[in-house]
Amino acid sequence: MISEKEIEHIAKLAKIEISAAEREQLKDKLSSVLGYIDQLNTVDTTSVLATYQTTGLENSLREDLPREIYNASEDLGSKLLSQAPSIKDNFVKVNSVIDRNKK
Amino acid sequence: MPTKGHTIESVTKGIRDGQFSAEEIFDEYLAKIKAHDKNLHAYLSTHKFQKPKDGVLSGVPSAIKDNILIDGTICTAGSKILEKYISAYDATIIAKLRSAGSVFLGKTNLDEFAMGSSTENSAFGPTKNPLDTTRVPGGSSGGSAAAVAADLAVFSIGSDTAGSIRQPASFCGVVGLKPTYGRVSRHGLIAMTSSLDQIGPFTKNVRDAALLMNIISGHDVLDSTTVPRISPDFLENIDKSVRGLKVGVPVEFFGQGLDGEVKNKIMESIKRLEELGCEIEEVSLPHSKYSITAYYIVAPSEISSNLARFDGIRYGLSDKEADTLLDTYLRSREGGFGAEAKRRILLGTFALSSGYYDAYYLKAQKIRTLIKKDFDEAFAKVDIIVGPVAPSTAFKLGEKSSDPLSMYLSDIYTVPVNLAGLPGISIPCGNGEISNMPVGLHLVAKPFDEETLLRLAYQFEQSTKQ
Repeated sequence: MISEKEIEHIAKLAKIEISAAEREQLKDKLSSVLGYIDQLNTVDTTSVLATYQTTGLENSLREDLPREIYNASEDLGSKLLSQAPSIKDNFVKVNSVIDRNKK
Repeated sequence: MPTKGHTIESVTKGIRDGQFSAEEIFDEYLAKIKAHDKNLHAYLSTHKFQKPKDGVLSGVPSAIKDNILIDGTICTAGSKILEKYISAYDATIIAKLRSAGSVFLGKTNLDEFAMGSSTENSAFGPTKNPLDTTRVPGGSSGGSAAAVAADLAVFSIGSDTAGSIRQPASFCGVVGLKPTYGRVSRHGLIAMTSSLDQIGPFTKNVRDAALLMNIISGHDVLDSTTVPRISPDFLENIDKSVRGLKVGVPVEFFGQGLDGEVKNKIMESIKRLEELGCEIEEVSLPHSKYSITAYYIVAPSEISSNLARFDGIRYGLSDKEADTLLDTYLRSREGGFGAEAKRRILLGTFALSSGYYDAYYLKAQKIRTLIKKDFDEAFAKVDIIVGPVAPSTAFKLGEKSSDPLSMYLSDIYTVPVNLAGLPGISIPCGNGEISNMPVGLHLVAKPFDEETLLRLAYQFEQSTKQ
């Protein structure tokens, strides 16, 4: 149903590293789920519209004004930043995008 | 069904009458958790007593599913990737419960990111069913259900995406309510499947559920999917007669796959509803058989998107060995997510990837329309739909954990309700004669008609006490 190569490709898109052993397992389990899912093809949906949500709400916009609710906690910013693994001068620090070891 | 320990009303009365103080009852619960939870593992963390505000829940100790944020405390979502994550603010539901006076005992165990039906997918080990510790409590809100069933909390809060409140309520013999999608704010709930997730209460009786709905319902500017409409007082008409109420029994929910002992209890319960004066009528939900299939496209798709935020950069587990940005993503996600989370992320990535969108995601959303239409047609004839919550009573630990498909099928009667955005409740209706474990009766109402839902549930509950 789904090949190991496809699993590798999806894992790359999903940004998850997957070991060879995991790949094998995932192939089996995803194939069985996808096999099951294929029964949807027996249903005719030619003139059916999709339901993305059920509330009927559309464009729930608000007035473009500052919201008091965010002022409730003055230290919200520092609390959020404190969760980042690496910080420099109030910025979240990340590893280099370019691999310096690669020539 | 006997309710174990305190209800909301007995605690508030006890405090009012001076039988105990808020702190004393809180400490009593904390001591019970210390004594009994090692075995059950309903809790992932416990909190200290905080002086309660005045309100209808003043001094009532509660437990919160660990995918809902409480300011300044750890919120793991049952995942290693958030093992040390500290919430920076209160979820809206927490702010509401707090201002009504509830005191939080702690955070309850769940399947990782609420993905599962047994709590066995928790990165911190499973919760056990308090009625039989060789069995699962259901899931994903298994910790919240077990905490209430074992009286390690007066009430608890869970979330329900495919049955994650109703199924564990059924397995543990407590009341579990999933409100209409859009009724209760999800601001501060760690998102799994945004178009389906809904927060709701676990309680020891229906009255407590109605009382909590009065507190937690309503539009929230911080959750644009909440519907701006006035919520009624859910307690006001709860004891009014249900005579003449039209109750539909979907033929599709009583076929193959339903255990005999569950079927028997549900049929007995339907008879009891008839004795209460309800008019029982057969209805048909022909597309409900595609619910699980549609769900396992919609949910993984939204999961692959929602869980993209866990990247090891702004919060959560971050791999220390990684030396490039991409490496940080790859390794943090590899090490942080468990097997089911990975499966669903990959399945969703696949379903949304180029060339497959129409065949999977779009197709599933069209099936969803058909499922919803079935309910619309049924509700043109009846006020409430009744059936089983789950095809079996609580299964054994390990029984289904190696086979995702058989685990998925335990949500077969609850998923359609989420896909259609309807309110549903599980109420105990006796024990199965073979397993001797609780069976949950599933009542489903029209969108935003929790009032009728709670009224019928309450009348049914009263009738079981006679």
